[in-house]
Amino acid sequence: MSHPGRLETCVGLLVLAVLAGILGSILTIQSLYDPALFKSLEMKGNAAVTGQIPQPGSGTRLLAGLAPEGITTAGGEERFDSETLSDKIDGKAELYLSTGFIGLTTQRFSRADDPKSWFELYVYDMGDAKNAFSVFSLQKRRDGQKSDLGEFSYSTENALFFVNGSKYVEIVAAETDLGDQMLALAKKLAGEQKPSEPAEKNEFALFPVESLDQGSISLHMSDVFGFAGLDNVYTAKYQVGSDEVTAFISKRKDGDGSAALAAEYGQFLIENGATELGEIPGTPGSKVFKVFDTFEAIVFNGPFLAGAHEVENRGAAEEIAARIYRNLEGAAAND
Amino acid sequence: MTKKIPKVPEDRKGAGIDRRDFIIRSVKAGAALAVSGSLGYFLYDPAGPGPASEKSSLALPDFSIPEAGKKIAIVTGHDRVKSVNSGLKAIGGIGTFIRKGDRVLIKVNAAFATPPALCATTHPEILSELVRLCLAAGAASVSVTDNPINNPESCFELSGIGEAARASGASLILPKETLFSNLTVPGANFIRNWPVLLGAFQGITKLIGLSPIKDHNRSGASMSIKNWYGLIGGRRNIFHQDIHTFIRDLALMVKPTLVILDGTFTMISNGPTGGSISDLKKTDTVIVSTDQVAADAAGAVLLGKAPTDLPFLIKAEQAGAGTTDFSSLNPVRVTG
Repeated sequence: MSHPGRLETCVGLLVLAVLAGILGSILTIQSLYDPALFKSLEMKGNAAVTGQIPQPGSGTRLLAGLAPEGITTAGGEERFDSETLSDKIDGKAELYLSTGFIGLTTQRFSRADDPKSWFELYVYDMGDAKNAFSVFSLQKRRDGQKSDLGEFSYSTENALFFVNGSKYVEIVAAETDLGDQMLALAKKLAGEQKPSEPAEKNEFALFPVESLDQGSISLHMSDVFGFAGLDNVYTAKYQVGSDEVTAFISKRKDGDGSAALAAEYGQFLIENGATELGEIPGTPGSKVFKVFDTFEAIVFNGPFLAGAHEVENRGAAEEIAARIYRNLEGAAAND
Repeated sequence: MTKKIPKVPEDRKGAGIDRRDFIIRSVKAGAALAVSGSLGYFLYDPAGPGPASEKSSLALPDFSIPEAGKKIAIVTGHDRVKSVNSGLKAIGGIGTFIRKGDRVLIKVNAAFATPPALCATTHPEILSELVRLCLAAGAASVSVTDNPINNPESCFELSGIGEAARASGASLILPKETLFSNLTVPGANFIRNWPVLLGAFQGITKLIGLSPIKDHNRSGASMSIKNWYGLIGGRRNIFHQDIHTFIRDLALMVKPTLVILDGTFTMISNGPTGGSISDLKKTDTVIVSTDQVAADAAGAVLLGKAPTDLPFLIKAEQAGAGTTDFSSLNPVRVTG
């Protein structure tokens, strides 16, 4: 048997050393395998990266151009999609995600001569005006002051909130004396976008006006009152004597749909500990329930399901439910 | 019929391999193939890369001080600096918890790049005072950390926490990727082989949670236990789907030395981000406790809630993380 030459031995050892190196690298990398990182990369997919900063000329308008006089940008514009929204607003994200959220764009601004005096603009794209109104109404501050930005707008000590078409906009300042600058920016933003639609006006009129807190009307899109079958519900507050009553109205597909949903909701209440007390006089098909220490009244008229929710006084619950029932008669007939 | 084997020409004899050589080499090659084939078969994983093993050699130390007992102080006062001093004094003084040479980690809530006025994050004034107290008690070092997912640098700076930490002598631990390691918490439903900011705990001997009291759109409240959410890495938002069970997991994961709740102002609506000063209510309270469940139960009162309104508190209590009946700890009520 012939023995390999010196060169052949050296080449062989070199190949073995390279193979040993590769094996060592594989074992090292494998020992550091991080399934969470792997999962994270999978989940991100094609989604926008958290805090992605769009480039000029990328086909999207930059919010920086909205800065009024004396105000400059602080940092870049950031974008968030449904995968990354919670990175920006944490537990508030679900409110938007359950209401048709498409994207959030933010930009921080500050006084040109004082970077510590700043505010941040949040533009939520909610897909349509109804969704935008919903998130606006569900977060509405009761002590907000009406602003110059239309019916669905208000300001507080340090912030401005409004609906503009399919967008819900928040401008939040670090201090209380940037109101003029925020309003100037908001007007510029509203002027550049599609004008606000007279959204939801028809539904508002379904609520009887007597003792109605007009500013309290809200739109709940899903899982209303904890019942998965109840969606697309308007609520409003009434004052009946010393009792505050939350009234609700939801338009269903037709009369059969509203009657069926009334029965399902009643059954849901019973399954959760409620007891049925009977009918409201003069409102056929209505039902009143006692739910622990509160009362729930349910009526339906044509395609509309309505009632009063978690009212402490049974009489107040029945009165408001009956008034809504009568108010719905015209709407049901015209539908 | 026999076949004639051709003779090797004379001029090729000794230049190539002979029969014996050929057989030996063939056997060696065959053996090499057999070994590598067997090795491949032995190492083959027909299931492919599945969920990683849940075994974890890592764990968060228990930072509680058993001899200090279960205590709670509820301080009334509009000055959070005075209140935190009074609260600590009421349950034995800072010296009961921080000793000479301790390396203290303060877990703040720096979740958002929002100003201190919104109280969505730990207020810098109370952080500064706590750092000062720890150092005065002899702590060798004080570190401050949190893991805001989006732009941590901005969150620490705009909330004022970064400046407060530096100015008072603490070091800031930003959530770098290398600081996360996978952790499995015994008895937890979700924290199993999940990345946690364990690197921030290197050499730490005492842990204090310092958080605001806030309404929370998903969990109903964000207080001491929910504050540990900021130690979690990865795509942690998926846990919002069963947030009450996840917060219970957090209560099992962390056994702090102390928790401090700043309810000087309480965010009673639109939490956890808030956004408007009108989301805040002046509640003039600071809660200091060695029992994080008790602290949160007391904090819930400021939100107008009972423990039964917050399923995570009931779950944490059932898991043995503390008591929701904070009055059973004989709270020391003082004025700040």
